[in-house]
Amino acid sequence: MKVYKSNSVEETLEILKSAPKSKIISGGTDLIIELRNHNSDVDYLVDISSIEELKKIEKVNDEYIIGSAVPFSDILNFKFPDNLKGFVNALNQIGSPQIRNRGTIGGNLANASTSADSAPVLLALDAKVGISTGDFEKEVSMTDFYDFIGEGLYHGIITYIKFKEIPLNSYLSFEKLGYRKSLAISKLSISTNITLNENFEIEKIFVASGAIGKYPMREYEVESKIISQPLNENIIQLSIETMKEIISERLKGRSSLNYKLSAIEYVLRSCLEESIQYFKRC
Amino acid sequence: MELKHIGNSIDRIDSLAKVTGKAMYPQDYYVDNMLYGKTLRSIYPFAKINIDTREAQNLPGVIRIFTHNDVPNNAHGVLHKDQLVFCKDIVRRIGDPIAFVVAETEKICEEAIEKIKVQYEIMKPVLDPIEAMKEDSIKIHGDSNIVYHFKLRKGDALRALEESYFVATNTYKTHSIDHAFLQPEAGIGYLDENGNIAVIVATQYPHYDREEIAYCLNLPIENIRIINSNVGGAFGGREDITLQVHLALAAKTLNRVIKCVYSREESFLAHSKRHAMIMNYSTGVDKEGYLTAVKAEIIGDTGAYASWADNVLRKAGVHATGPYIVPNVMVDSYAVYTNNPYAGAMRGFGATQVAVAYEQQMDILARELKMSPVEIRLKNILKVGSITSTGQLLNNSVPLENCLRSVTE
Amino acid sequence: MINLKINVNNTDYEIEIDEEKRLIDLLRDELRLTGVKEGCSEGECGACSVILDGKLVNSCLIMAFQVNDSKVVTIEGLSEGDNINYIQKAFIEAGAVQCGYCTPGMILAAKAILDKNPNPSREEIRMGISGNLCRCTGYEKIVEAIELAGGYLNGTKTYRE
Repeated sequence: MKVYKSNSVEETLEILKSAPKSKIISGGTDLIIELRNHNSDVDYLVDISSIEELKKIEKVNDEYIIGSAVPFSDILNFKFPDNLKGFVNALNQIGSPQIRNRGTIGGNLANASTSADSAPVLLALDAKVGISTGDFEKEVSMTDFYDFIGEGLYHGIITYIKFKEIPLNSYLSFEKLGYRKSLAISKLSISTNITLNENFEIEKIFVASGAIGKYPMREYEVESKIISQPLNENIIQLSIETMKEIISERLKGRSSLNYKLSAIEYVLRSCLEESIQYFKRC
Repeated sequence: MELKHIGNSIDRIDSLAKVTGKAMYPQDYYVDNMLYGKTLRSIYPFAKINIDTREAQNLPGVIRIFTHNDVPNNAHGVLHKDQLVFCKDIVRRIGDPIAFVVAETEKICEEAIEKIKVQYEIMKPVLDPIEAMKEDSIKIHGDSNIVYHFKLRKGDALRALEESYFVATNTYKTHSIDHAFLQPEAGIGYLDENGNIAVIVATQYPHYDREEIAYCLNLPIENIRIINSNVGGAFGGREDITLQVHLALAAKTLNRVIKCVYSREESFLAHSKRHAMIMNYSTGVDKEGYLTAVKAEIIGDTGAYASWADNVLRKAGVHATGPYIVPNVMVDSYAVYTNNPYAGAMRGFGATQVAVAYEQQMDILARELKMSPVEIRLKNILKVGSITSTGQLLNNSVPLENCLRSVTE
Repeated sequence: MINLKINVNNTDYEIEIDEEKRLIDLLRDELRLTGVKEGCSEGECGACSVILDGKLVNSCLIMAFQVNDSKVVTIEGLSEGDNINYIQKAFIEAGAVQCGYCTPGMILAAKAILDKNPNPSREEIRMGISGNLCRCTGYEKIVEAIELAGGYLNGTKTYRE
């Protein structure tokens, strides 16, 4: 196996193009396990963890722009406003301190795991993902991201993730269920991003899920059922019932179905109730 | 009188070495020109096998591949010598050792393992201990799968149950558990300056390991040294042999230093587990909440090998009525072979599992009698002067009541 | 083979190492810093924790070639001879050491906590050691040891005679 510590995106893309069995490594917290289990056919590892342009995190006007090779702990050191608490919560629950110090937001998306903890919040924020290959540069919406990359991102790299700040009458929340507090792979996760109008009705809503489908995804059916409704207990019930129907359909015949049906009650309720608490404080 | 130690906290003698990282565990020993060893293990729970090591043996860097042919007495085990150093005709569990490759590097060991051809003729495994107990079940060893049967009788439990005000009858199941000690098994084998076989290993029983190696290799016990390094947790999981005989055999045959380190995954495959148990309980009580009788049948799944099964199931049987006064007792506990991972010692040694059953029985009885769970326990707990289910008169120091009262205050 | 420059425990090294080796292999097999323990090889147990450029990391989940030009602190870097640092003292005094296999990683996790905040809450300590497994202690005495070490650091506790 060849290895190389790359200094620029350009150089990285050239290697990816010329070496068909090459693979990007940054945090390496998943990839190294795969390599050691011989589950990955790789003959060239290219490290992007020192490429300066991928390691920046900044706020430009109303947009947060996060380089793909920024480790979670560096993102968590950045100050986010109170109504983006779901983003902070999601990142704080990834792995362990050691994993958060190495694992990167780009890697979390690139390996296309349905349990990726940063994905539901990024979906709910309608984030955009910058992708470069030797042939093109493209900005893909999170909602299209998984279809775009298919099983994984080959011969290209994620360069940045960006999302807009949300107004004060909006709140992003995140909840996950794992078997324990730390180092827990999500068994089910939900993120909601709700905007209320002056009558406390839902003006805009994003609901995204993790670990109940092939990829993390937007739950449009729930969104369409509760938009324009007042955010109250009835709507929480309706959302849960709708999600249960979706899960029953999606996980039909799976042994995890019953577990996830009862898990969704807690996870979704907790997101919506946390949002209500925020709006009450405002 | 001033006491030097009693009543004072004393630093562990090895804590300085441990906080500085100087404490040595077997994987921490490095010797120039040492060889590495790796074990080929069964991937099926029950199969006839045929091994061909020729291609692997020819791989550059492979020094020697050891199999059953190399072991003079191919049998070990703490109570029953039912384990093989290397399986010969049959594998009885996933993870059963088949061969030990010694090579110049760990990587070559892995390549050689890939090249050893094992033909498996797969047999239907027996995975349910209740099935395994039946007369017509396939036998894992010998002519019965029941390794051990412990009987405890006091009074007339059947009659007392019949005459009880209420009887709770329930089945409880506990599962198999791994110790998951933090330091995976590792060891170093070599010949010392006197030509004795030395094995550096983290073990709970250096003296047993010594006996087992001497027996398996057919050598006088004086020729074997076990050097116990620091032990990175054990909890019962290092009471059986894992790599000790493999390393001793390789050192003796090759007169080289051989190191072997298990991965976490191999560690899970290699050592024993806590016995999974099925516990059928009938517990009787009178109107006032005093226990009248316990009838219990406890079936412990010892997997493919007995290890400490007799002791574990005896202990489960002895503790089957918990810390309670029970005038009539009938307990039958069994250790049963299956093709599951083998079970042995783990913290509590069988006393832990039965608590799941007898304590839930108490709660169920309390609910039936509309009594608090504490009250029913206070009525029945052992005190000074009580006689246990095994007939022991407790003549001093039974502070259970103090304990229960102080936690409920 | 590749060539690496690395500073470990304040000593500069130039090392030739196999491309497939990880940081833990470099530290243990090449530099014989065997205080770095391997427990699971997949980032679950934290026994291999070291401090890389100021951050606590699992050395089993980093390839050696990635750490070129980096600075690493292992447990061996915290003491000189029997002259141990305040966290190591606290671990001994609080009885936080049993089998010892988690201890080096746990002490480095404690260092990462206390370097950030000399007065951590019990919850912050629990979070800070949540990537380190211990199978002996039940964690209680480890948390106490880190509180005690915090006390040494912020002056509310003094070393035992």
